Amino acid sequence: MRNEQAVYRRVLRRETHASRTSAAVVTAVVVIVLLAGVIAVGVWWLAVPGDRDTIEGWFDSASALAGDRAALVTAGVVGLGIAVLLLALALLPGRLPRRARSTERVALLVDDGVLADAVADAVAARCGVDPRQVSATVGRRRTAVRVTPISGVPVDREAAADSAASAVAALGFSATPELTVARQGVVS
Amino acid sequence: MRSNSRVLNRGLLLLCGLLLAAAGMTAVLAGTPSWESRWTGPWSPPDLVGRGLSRAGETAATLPSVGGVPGGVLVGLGLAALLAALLIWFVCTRHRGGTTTVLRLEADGGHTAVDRNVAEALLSAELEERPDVLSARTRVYRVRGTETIDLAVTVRRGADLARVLAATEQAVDAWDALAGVRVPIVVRLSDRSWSDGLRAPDRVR
Repeated sequence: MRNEQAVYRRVLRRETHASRTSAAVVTAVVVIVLLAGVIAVGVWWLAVPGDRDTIEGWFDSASALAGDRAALVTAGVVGLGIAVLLLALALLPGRLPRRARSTERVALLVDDGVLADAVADAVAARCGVDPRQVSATVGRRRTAVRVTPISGVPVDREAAADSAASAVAALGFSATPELTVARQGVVS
Repeated sequence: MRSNSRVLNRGLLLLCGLLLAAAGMTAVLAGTPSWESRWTGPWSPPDLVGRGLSRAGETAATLPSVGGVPGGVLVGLGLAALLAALLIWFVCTRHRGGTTTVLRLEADGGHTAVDRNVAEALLSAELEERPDVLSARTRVYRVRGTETIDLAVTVRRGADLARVLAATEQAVDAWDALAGVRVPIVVRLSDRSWSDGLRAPDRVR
């Protein structure tokens, strides 16, 4: 049982944060391709002594490019941009839009989008409007619900907010919905 | 639910990011004389890189040549090959942790291994028959040395989530009764993906 809860804690922690596997694999593959290029040129230089002048000529032209200040600054700015992206991927927590909890038997992960659909459906049913007239966004901190009422039919805000909160509570999570009612209704 | 090290993923990104940032900063400073002149002394990046390169060149020149091949070239090629091999190992180990055996039972007369398909038949197949479930799939991963079932359920729009969860727990109870031991189970209620739009158009109201 204790081991089960330890497994759940680990899985829920991992599954609510981005793994960064794709970014790390892409970075590794790019570095592997660059290294393969370096190794191929090195082996060529060793194996065919007659071509050494050609290879050294390439290095000279690359060095000449480094003398061009505009090219240096452009390459540096591009490099800095990619570096910022890589550092952000490495250091930001990367929370995924889903909620997690463990019950007595299972660990439960629910995507925020699934909860948003449930909230929108519950509010639409409670207010007696078409589900297309309700949009809901479930975020980490806030749950926003926007209702476009039927013209001339008032929306019971309290009941709508209650139904949104109970839709989330049905799965054991909590939310304080922020309800917005559009000023202009539609003809149903 | 893979069990590969996420610290390694982030470590590689951090290392590459820092190296690229240092190279980029050096290139920008070297290409902008007005900035370079403000940052002088032994710690200015272009100066550091220049000294580092010349020191590496001097060290390479002192290495003995093997069979007429300069030692510096051989060491450089060896290091590049080692780094490439490490990175290939890194890429190949990114999808580790999946297993097809969900349960191993040891007894005096031998041992029994339960295949993932049994869990699939009991958990996912049961749920997939429900009209409010689009798809359900079962996978098994080893987490902290324990086989863990990952049960992903994609629900239709309009489904009663509490009912789907109750049905899932019923299926888990049936699995527990069959297996006789508790296997950790992770239930995930997932968003529909674009490909789910291509499925049968029946709806639940």
